Amino acid sequence: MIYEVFRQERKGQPLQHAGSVEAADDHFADVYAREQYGRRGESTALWIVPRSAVIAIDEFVDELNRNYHRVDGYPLKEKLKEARERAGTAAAHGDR
Amino acid sequence: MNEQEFLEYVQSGGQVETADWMPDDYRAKLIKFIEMHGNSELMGVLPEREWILRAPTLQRKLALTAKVQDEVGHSQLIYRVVEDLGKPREQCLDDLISGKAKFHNVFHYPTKTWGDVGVIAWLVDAAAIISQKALLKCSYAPYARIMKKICWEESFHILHGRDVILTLMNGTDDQRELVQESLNRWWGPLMQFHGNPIAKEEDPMYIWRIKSQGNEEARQQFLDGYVPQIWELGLTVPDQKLRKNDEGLWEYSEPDWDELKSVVTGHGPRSQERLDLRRRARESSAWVRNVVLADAA
Amino acid sequence: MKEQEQQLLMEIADDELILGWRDSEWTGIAPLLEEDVAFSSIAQNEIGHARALYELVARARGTTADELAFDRSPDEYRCAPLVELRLMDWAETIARHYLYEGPTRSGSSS
Repeated sequence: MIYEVFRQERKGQPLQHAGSVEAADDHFADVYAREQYGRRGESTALWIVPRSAVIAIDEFVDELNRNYHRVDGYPLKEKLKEARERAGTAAAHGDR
Repeated sequence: MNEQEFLEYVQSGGQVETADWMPDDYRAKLIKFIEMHGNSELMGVLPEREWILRAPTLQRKLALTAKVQDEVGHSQLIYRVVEDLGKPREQCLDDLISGKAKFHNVFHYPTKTWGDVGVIAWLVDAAAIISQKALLKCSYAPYARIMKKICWEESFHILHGRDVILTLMNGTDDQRELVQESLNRWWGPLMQFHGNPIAKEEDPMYIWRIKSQGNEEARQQFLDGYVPQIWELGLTVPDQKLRKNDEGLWEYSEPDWDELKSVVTGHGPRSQERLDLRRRARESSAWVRNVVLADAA
Repeated sequence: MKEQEQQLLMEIADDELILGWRDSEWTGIAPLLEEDVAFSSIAQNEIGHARALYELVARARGTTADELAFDRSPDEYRCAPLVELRLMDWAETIARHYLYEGPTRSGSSS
């Protein structure tokens, strides 16, 4: 069985995918993962998960162009320039 | 996506994951390249493990065992990546033992003295780490990710190598002579290590951004980093022509490309002996894999 | 440290050293890559244990752990015959390890 290994470098940091090990069962996976990803003291924690238990999601569809959920939905640059000109403060900010 | 779009994608820095579509040629070249790396780590173990039993102190024995252990660990990580691309580990090992798949030239040569142990860890691993650092930018992301761990561990190996060499160089005349003699034998293979100077624009590995640097670039980087380290210890490099020119490029005698070709096709001084050892070890332990991994099939 | 205590430590250290020595021979050629890595750590731990014990005795005798580990004649080593066996079969290696761990876990018989 293939087990995916996630490791945490220091406390508080996110667990990141570090690779995989092949093992007969959870016990062997534990031993092998500890050795491969911890023998040099490089990880504070490991999560090991059978690959079959991982549900991969990598397709996200946005048919309605929900730009209000994204930064590009808020075009401030031109509006800010116009407001500064109106207030007479454009030169102080180096606006062209 | 079609092949042309894929090419543009990787050439502009795009990364590829295991489940993504990829051209057949890309997948085939990737497998061959990564497999050779895995083979090299596994074969590189053999010249070095001979010295675990002959290390001069407990500290060196432990450090060397840990180094070899790292290399086995690297081959495990690397074969896992190849397996996820579609070629099972057992098939890789079959092809390695039969001679169908290759491994790097340096691992076909004998280790004759403790000086070799130092030179290999210091200079051969240095040559390798230059290629490996360039692979951190490989277009195939799973491989690039394991390279981080591999490069991190390799840096310990170079430290170990340097420590061994410096200890010898600060010792007796015989010990210094040991290092020089070792260096004289390893210089040829070291210069061949990065491969012939094919222009990177003609190198399919670079075109697909599997490799991110050309062979000559890697060699120049190696010379830049390590010739000064060699000279500052009072050692000489067995190449009269070696010098840095006014443009900052290293000039050197043409490496023996025929030797390289002959060696990587299995005609090196220790090629067959080491493949035989791998074959015997594998055959005698097949029953273990069959029993332990029975459920994993 | 009394001579008797030194002798006891040397016996344990010699067992660990020779067993670790033998176990380290599997590094690179164990049946499974994952097992190779794991077993190599066991070997390194054994040698590490030996070294720690040699260092204690070395301090008492005014010498070094390396000298104790390397510079005695073969008949001066106090290890059990079990650990000296050179076994190139994985089953025998694991069996020996299992037998070795048994008595050392429950306390030495000497």
